[in-house]
Amino acid sequence: MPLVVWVLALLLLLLLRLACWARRRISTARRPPQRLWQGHPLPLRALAVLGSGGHTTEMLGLLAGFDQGRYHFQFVLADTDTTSLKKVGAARPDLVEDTSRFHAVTRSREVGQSWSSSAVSTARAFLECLTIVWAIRPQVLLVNGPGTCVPVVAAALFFELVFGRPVVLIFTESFCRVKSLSLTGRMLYALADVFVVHWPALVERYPKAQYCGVLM
Amino acid sequence: MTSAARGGRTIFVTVGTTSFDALIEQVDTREFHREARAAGYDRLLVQHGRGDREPKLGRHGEDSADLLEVTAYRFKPSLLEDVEAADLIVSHAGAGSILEALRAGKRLLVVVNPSLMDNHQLELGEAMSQSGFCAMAARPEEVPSAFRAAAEAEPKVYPAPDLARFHRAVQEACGVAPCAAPEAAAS
Repeated sequence: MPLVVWVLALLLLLLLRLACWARRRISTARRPPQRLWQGHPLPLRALAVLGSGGHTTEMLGLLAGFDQGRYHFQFVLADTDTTSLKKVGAARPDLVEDTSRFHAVTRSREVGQSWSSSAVSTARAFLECLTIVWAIRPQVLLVNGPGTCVPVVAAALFFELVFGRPVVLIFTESFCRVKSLSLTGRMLYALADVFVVHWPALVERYPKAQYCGVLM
Repeated sequence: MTSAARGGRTIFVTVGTTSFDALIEQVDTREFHREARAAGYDRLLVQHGRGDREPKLGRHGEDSADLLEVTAYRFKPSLLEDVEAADLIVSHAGAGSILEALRAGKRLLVVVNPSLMDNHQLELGEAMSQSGFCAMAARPEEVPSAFRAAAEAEPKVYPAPDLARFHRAVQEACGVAPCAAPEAAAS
């Protein structure tokens, strides 16, 4: 009998934890900024996901003005994607000086890959992301929509829920999404702390999104 | 290769990393060449990417009074030099190509590739052309008429990116005090 009570109590505690986490994390409306790292030592540990092609170009644009005294960035790269690293090197030689800032993961889904085989590689990518995110302990996570970013975000939110390691999740939609959100955008809409779009029409449809002017 | 050095005005056609044979076909007609000549262009530089179709007209100096002088290639590590040397750019509707042309301050005709099944290109092309930054052809068949519009119109200057509001949003979410004097870290 007492065992059942203990199990029930533990279950209740877990549920409570989940509810508290969900209440803080999930919202489809804009809320006042949480100022999560106020008073913490700078620079904050920041992690950006570099996906492929256009996403990488856009991410480099977003990274251009970040104050390196406030945010120290590390990067997750899709490992089949060598052009991304070259692109970073061409645009920002300062960032590639220290290659230990770059972490490769298996790409979660190649374009045209079947869904069943992509389930296996997604699972593997997720395990890799757990390892990387655990080691980096990001305080800020900046993503802009390539498939690679989903397991990274999942890993960060998993640690937030289970180990109480909070993270500020910044999502920037791709420049070419004018009227509707991308799949990644729809997945992360309710979870992101800051959700940025490039076209004002999207704010009307998705009130949590914010338009910050011309970013590209 | 720098056509600007040789004088005359250049049209640069680019398909980026994709293939877009239907666009190459549209600029490889005598009508297009005649139209372009009439609009004051002398040269046509074509980046045809992964496509099978290469331009044929005007590559061997035949009856050149009527034809543009044509040069073609598949890829280059960077198209920036050709973008900057051009006077008018005819581009597929990829975001990267559009932005590269507009940032260089070029007159631009965006051509949507309907076979890509990616309507965001149409959305983006429409949004950019409705904002007055460029002209657009929703299908390659519309290139002749859209070219005339692109050659005549006076496009609006595309604004330089300004990340201040974005960075403020990030700073507020993090609780990092806003910059007193935002020094834009050199990119």
